[in-house]
Amino acid sequence: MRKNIVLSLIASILDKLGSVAIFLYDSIVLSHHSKHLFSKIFHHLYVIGAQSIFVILLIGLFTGLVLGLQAFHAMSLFGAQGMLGSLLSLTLIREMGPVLTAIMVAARAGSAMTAEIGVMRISDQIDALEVMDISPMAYLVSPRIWAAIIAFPLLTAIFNVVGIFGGYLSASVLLGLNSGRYFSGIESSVTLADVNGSLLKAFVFALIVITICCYQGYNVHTRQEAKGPVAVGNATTSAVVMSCVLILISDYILTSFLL
Amino acid sequence: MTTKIKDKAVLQNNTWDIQIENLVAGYTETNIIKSLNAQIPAGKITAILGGSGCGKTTLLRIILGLTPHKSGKILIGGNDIFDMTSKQFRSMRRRIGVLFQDGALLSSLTLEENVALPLKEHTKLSADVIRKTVLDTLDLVGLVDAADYYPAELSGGMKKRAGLARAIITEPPLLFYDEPTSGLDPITSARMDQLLLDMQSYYKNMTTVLITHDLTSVKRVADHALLLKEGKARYNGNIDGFFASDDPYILEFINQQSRDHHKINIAPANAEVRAALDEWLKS
Ligand SMILES: Nc1ncnc2c1ncn2[C@@H]1O[C@H](COP(=O)(O)OP(=O)(O)OP(=O)(O)O)[C@@H](O)[C@H]1O
Ligand SMILES: [Mg+2]
Repeated sequence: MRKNIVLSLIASILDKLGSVAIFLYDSIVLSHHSKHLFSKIFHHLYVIGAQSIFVILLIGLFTGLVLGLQAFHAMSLFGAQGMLGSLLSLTLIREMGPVLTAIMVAARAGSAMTAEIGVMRISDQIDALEVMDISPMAYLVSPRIWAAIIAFPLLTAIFNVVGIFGGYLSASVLLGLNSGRYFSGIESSVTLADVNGSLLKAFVFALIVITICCYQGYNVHTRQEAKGPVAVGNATTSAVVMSCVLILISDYILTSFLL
Repeated sequence: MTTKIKDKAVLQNNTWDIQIENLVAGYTETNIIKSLNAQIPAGKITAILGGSGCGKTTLLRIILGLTPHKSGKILIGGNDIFDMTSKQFRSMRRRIGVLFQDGALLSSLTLEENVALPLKEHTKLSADVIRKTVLDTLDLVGLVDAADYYPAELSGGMKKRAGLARAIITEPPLLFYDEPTSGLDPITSARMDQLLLDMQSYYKNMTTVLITHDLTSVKRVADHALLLKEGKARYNGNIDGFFASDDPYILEFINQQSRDHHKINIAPANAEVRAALDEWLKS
């Protein structure tokens, strides 16, 4: 009995992931149906990328500051402050940068996307697109996916740089670590492979976040537990939660391959 | 027996009549449309009438392929739409213009962009040509001054007129209007009716389907009527026959009165509710 429940739970999760994957596939394949694709991508690049820069700067800076503070104190115990630069930059580039950027963008742009597409669904706008023979996937989803594929790695790179600067502020400027030691630590330990891994993660997270957020909004009318505006609210919540969970799970999987 | 569609040429025929055969549909187990048989003739204006919630919009959504049906057939120009491949269906649907019940304008675009959308997405016309066409079309529905407004800044009737402009800009041979005149003042709705008539006389073969509760406008424009009741066609035929009918339900409908007026008790029946409301009003 118990086994059945577990099995059906797994089956329903796989089912859901399968339909999300098909959704992603469709949106990529249907891209060429989208007229003026580039201008739409630019528009969403602005929404997903440019409008997120401030929050990424802020989060990146404070992540670097707090990591610098913690690591400085922890490493002073072993007199290993010289390692601080390597530790901090690797943590940021390999993990914190891509993961926190993706989570922030999911919370900021992703949730708005779900709500916008969800409202379009419940007010017949998506049906109207379809009747006008404008593929709603190509019109609404594809440009967002492409924009995210471009924006996420760039935002992640910004996060990494600002985070490293934040670490420098707290460790060198505030706590007095020699800045030469901080930066030479970074130089000696960070390789191109780390940076590539960071960007690869950003790319994968972009696909996950935007696909989930668009999927939840697009299918808001199929929700069982609620209809109308409440369903849009619920869809937004589950889009953000699902995005975050999948970011962390896929981060683990990616890391185990990259290390 | 339906002819299998072999090429697009069949779809470009110029008779856009609709035949509905034994259509059954519903969102849950209970059917909203129960074995509906009806005909909508080509080149005419047909009014679909019926009580609120009787399934008029649902029927429209089934014809447009937006809501699934359970059984039956719908033939448009002699071709069963449920037999078509999705490509054929889409190519047919291109020739259908639709005004949704609440306009369904894209909320992120201005009125002008909304009306321009079909042209912008499907043609290579220059921006100037599109703009001119859009403004002309907006002029037809009396909305040029509102071209730069977003849908959220429009009144209900304005949204409806904008939806109408978007539906007619591609000059489709088959047009559906879901309640074009509800929520409009008598003068504007007379103007909308005149617009339908003008378009009908300009595009000779255009088939127009009008879902409406507005009998004045039915009298003004419709050639043909389909009255739905309990998921079936109560009347389907010439408009003169409709207004001359002696079917009691049709008479009720035409005379705009309800026969089963059981006494309605307007005040809250419950003394407890009334006392509670009194208390709130005094506080
Ligand atoms: N998405 C839906 N899910 C479930 N039931 C629905 C849905 N849409 C409509 N219905 C039900 O189907 C019935 C017919 O609805 P429909 O919108 O077709 O009515 P209508 O004839 O267009 O009414 P009105 O004149 O008020 O617009 C109603 O009883 C409604 O409750
Ligand atoms: Mg309706």
